[in-house]
Amino acid sequence: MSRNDDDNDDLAVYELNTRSVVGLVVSVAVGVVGLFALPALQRGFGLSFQEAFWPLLAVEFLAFVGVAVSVLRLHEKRSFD
Amino acid sequence: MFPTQAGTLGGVEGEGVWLALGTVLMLIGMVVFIAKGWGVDDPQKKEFYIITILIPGIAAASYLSMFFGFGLTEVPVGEAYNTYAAENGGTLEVYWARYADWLFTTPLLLLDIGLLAGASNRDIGALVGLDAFMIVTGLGATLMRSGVARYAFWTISTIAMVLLLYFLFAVFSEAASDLNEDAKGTFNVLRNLILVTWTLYPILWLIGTEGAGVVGLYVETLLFMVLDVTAKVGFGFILLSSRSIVGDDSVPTPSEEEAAAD
Repeated sequence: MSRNDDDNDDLAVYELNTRSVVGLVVSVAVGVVGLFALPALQRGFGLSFQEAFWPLLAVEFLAFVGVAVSVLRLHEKRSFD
Repeated sequence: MFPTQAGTLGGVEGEGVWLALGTVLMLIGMVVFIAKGWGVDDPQKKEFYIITILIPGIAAASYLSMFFGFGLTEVPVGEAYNTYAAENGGTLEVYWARYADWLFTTPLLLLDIGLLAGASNRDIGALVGLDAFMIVTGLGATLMRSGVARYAFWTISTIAMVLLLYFLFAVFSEAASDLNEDAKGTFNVLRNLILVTWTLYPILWLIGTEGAGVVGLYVETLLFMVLDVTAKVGFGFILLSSRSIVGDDSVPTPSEEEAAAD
């Protein structure tokens, strides 16, 4: 690593990743809404409990994945090249 | 109109009392964690705060959902299954939202402790996968109509939990061995908290209305609430009280060579 690279690294700053913020908000919203949505899904689509529940559970897990990925990518390191 | 259940907004009764209390305690935990993390600028510390705030936040939504009856269903198991089913015409009242909450929040707890330990993404991912398997098979145990199938799924889920806890103890502890003393101490306390509280969940299932029916829904809901609050809010308090998270000692001090070079 050259001296110039060191300087650039020292000047690196963390910037908020807007896409991750959006991903975080959407994932949390999906996760929370999912906890209340099952009766409406059953009534709206005429589904049995099991038919509505398992897809909903998959959505809950995807919401967790969305939260995890968003949090871990919330800040991007930007350097002054 | 809200689905029917024991607790209503006007006059809370039965296990609704514990669901309401669970909602309030989770909300208090979330608000306290937000207050503690307000103004934190360090990106790595922000990760801990966001994850730790979301855990009781999601759990509060889950408890509210159960309180209003959205997160409740009935599973026909036959009157011979246990005394609780016999008293309720052969059906069990099951709070499915509990499992949806756990599928969201337990991986977040593992992510929190994994990040603290400095575990690799591969190890955290493996543990999260095992955790999801444990929760889904636990749900299988709860939603099955046959008693044999219920206990078979409970056994599979419990074996997955034992493997998960072993993995947590062995792999994450090894990753945490490089941490400073304070962070290592916090990791050990949190790891032991997970080991103890998570072990109690399948035992409670076994003695509760979904299992042998030794304790009724009222006591079962109370005990699940105490476990949930301890495992989530208690976890967060310990983590966010650690000097390695809230203090400045995580900033590496320059070595003598670096200081001399300056």
